[in-house]
Amino acid sequence: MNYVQLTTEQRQEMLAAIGVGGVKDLYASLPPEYRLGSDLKLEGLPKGLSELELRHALNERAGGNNPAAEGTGAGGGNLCFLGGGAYDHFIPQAVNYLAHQSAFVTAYTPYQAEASQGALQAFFEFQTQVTRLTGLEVSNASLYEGATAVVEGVLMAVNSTGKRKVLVAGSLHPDYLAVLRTYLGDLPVELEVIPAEGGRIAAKEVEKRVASFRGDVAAVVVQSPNVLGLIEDWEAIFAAAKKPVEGHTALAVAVFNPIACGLLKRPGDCGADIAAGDGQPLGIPLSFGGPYLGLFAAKAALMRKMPGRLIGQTVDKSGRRGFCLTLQTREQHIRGAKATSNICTNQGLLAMRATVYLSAMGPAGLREVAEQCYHKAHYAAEKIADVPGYKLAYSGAFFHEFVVDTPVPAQSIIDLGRARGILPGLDAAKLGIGHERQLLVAVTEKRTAGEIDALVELLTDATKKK
Amino acid sequence: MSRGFAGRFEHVGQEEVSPLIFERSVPGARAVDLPALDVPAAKIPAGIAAAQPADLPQVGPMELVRHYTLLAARNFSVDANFYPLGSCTMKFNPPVNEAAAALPGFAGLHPRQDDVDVQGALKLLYELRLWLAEIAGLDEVSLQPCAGAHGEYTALKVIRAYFKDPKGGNAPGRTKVLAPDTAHGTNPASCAMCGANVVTVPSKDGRVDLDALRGMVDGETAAMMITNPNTAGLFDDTITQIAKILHDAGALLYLDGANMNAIVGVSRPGDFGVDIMHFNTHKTFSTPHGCGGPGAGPIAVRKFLAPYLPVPQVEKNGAGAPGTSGPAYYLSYDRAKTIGKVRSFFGQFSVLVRCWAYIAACGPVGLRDVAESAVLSANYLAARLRERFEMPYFDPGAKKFCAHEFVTVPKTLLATGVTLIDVAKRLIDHGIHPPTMHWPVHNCLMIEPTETESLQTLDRFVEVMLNIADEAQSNPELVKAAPHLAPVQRLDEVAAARTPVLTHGG
Ligand SMILES: Cc1ncc(COP(=O)(O)O)c(C=O)c1O
Repeated sequence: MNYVQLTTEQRQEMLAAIGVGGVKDLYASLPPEYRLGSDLKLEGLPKGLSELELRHALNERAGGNNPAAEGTGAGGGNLCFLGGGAYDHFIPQAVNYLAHQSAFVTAYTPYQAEASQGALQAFFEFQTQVTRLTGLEVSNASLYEGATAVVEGVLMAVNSTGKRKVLVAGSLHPDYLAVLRTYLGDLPVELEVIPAEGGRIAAKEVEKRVASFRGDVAAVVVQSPNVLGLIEDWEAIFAAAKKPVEGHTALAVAVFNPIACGLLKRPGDCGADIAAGDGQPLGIPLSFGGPYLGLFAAKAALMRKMPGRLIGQTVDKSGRRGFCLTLQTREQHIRGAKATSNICTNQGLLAMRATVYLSAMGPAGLREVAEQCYHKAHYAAEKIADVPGYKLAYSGAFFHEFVVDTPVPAQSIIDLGRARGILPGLDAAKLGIGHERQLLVAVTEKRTAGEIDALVELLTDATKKK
Repeated sequence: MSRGFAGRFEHVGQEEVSPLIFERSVPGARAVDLPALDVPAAKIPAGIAAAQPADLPQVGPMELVRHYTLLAARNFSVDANFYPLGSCTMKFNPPVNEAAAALPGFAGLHPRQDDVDVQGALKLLYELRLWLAEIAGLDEVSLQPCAGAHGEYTALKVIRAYFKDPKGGNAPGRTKVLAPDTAHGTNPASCAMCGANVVTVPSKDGRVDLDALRGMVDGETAAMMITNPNTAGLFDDTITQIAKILHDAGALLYLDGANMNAIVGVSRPGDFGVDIMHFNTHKTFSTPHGCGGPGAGPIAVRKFLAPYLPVPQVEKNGAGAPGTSGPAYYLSYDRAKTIGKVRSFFGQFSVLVRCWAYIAACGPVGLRDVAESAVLSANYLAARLRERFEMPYFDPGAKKFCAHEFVTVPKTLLATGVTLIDVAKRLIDHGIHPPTMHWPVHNCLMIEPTETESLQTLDRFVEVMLNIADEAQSNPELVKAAPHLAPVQRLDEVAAARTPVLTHGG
């Protein structure tokens, strides 16, 4: 079924109205040699499927997986202690129910304000929520995902300062760093990584390096909690990064986790000029890595350099409040090569999910989610450290994720866990943040004490089976 | 005028201002709860916690549902409204695809699970990779890009890497990219993001001006980005010559695949000289637009460009070949000349699931019928409207047809003093989403009905458009004052940009 509902008779009627004998005639400007002489050869798909066949085929492919979590529902799935940039949080049903209304799912970008007040207002609420989460002043209607949001933050810093050096904390998620390298690769911008000694970067080191570039630093990028789960001292680091050198002050880019903002100091509280992160934890299912949500916020002074769509409040001709796309002269459809970014289609529906999630949680709910993450992760860490052979790889404050040194290869624990329906964590070597006897464990509010105990038992047994 | 057309705004109270969620906030209210903490509380060191919780709205469960339900009622959508937005391919979004994306076996997958745990997902991605390559008539596909613009960016990086490679194009000085003056804004913007120098090629009669092009292609040219069928809704039959001009000069031809809905299954870009292209799954392959996203922008390339594709790539082990162990499908980072990563994790997975489901439902014959029906529907509308809405490129008598969309520059109507904005807003009164305006040329409407609308809907659109043309003559003030049936009317966009208010209370 290809969802075309024109009948044969109707097609004839339409052709007659146009004054041609057949559809082929309408392709008059397509040179015949470019017309495909045969049907497409689609691997394993000789012909289209009926809905029932389609559902079987999809179920078969979905059934060929061993999902870490239960997706958008509740119950089932494995016990998921995987993090590394994507987290298994509780998704209130209201998020699925409200964000997935067909009036939101099947609408285009809200170019026609009168026909799109629902989306425009929701995204205005989203922008407001993101500024309140980050403690910054302006935000946009979403970017693709975390890594490209960081790229946009760095490019904005480069474009607004006119400087050419970018310093990045070595504790940034390696995927984010890799994407940043791709984007800066063909631009006249130089990237330098500040090594993270003992899992964190030091303010002194940042100050030294910023000074060494003699006023040519556009941005200093620091993630907290960092890829090892550790909380970086943003306040001290950004203060060091922003010491004027030869009359120029670098911009501080904070890479943040929105759930952590429910408890920890926020980017704006710590001197960040720009904040970028992934909004996946805000009611977005894991879905094998996407689509997720690029969160972006900045100080008001950077407003006209912002990438992506911005929603503004205004009034209509009778003075009623309404919302519209605004400051569009920054954007590609007006400004072409001089636009602040090439982004057009963004992550609207994911921004909708985050909006509903944050409204559902409210300040107390978000704080409780963050606190439970914190307490449960610390409970797990303590219990794991008590198992002979295991210890925490780093000392100091962490949020909901931590690295443990394991007495056996992390992969062997992961394999043992598979049989028990437990995903105990990520192999630090594979993630590129450590060696093969290290496991990155994430604990969200969803995990119960009993489930954490089951994880501890798994780790204990993994050493016995050696 | 037929009444009761679904999706009109008559039910939305017009005098009522929609409150923001923050204005519904009551201290202490809350919409969801969590289980009580069942582990001992850990110490939170002084100095790491925020002084107070983020200032989010506080609403109860009923208030939450009512708020976002009412917002939805203030939105047009394909489910409720005809949405002939040119260049956007607002076709039917099959509900079965939404259910597929939400299957726990897909939605519950963590992107860092071992390959053995995600075989079904990888199989689906691998199949989609092959299908899109076949549809493109090219050799290899990367599913990673997040949207069309991201696909353009990724493809331009691939082209750049190819020319930088001494064993590849070996012409690092090729940094110039050509794009027609009708190109979508993302084309030049994507060039700028990868440091390429974009040069605009003029058009003649809605097609690329070949003489101008010849004069512009040189030893610094890396590629030309072209949209075909182009943004004026025409299949540019000079494409062979364009390809030849570029290839003779050692440059590549890039296709912006935004308009694939006109040719999917009918003609393959690889067969008409394209070296590299992107798809917009959210246009051609029915993945919903979600008020602006998510989309997906897979790219397809010829073999000589494949070594530069981003990592990871989904691969299949030699089927049952001796000595192969491990799972059948896997994510490979093994690509020595790769441009690297362009996003975290794998791609817009659940969008790709929907894309797979759409292609699977259509099949090879169904896909061709999609394109042909889209072209038929567009030409039908054009034929019925052309008496009153002048069309520069459409003239059936002269065998000038449109592809899946068409452009009208309605001079007669505009002579009444009514503007295109007025027409657009009047359409909203009729429950019809306005077409794309002022693009690719000034004072035009670009109309794309897609293949999934009924003849009744197409006829009703014609009726409404003719009616508006009549009104423009007989009662222009009525049109100029539109929309009459909308929750708000004519927002002051100038004021919005002059003193931007981007946050509540901000
Ligand atoms: C011709 C053309 N090119 C590129 C794009 C950009 O695609 P996307 O919005 O998916 O980034 C669009 C979409 O609006 C388009 O119409």
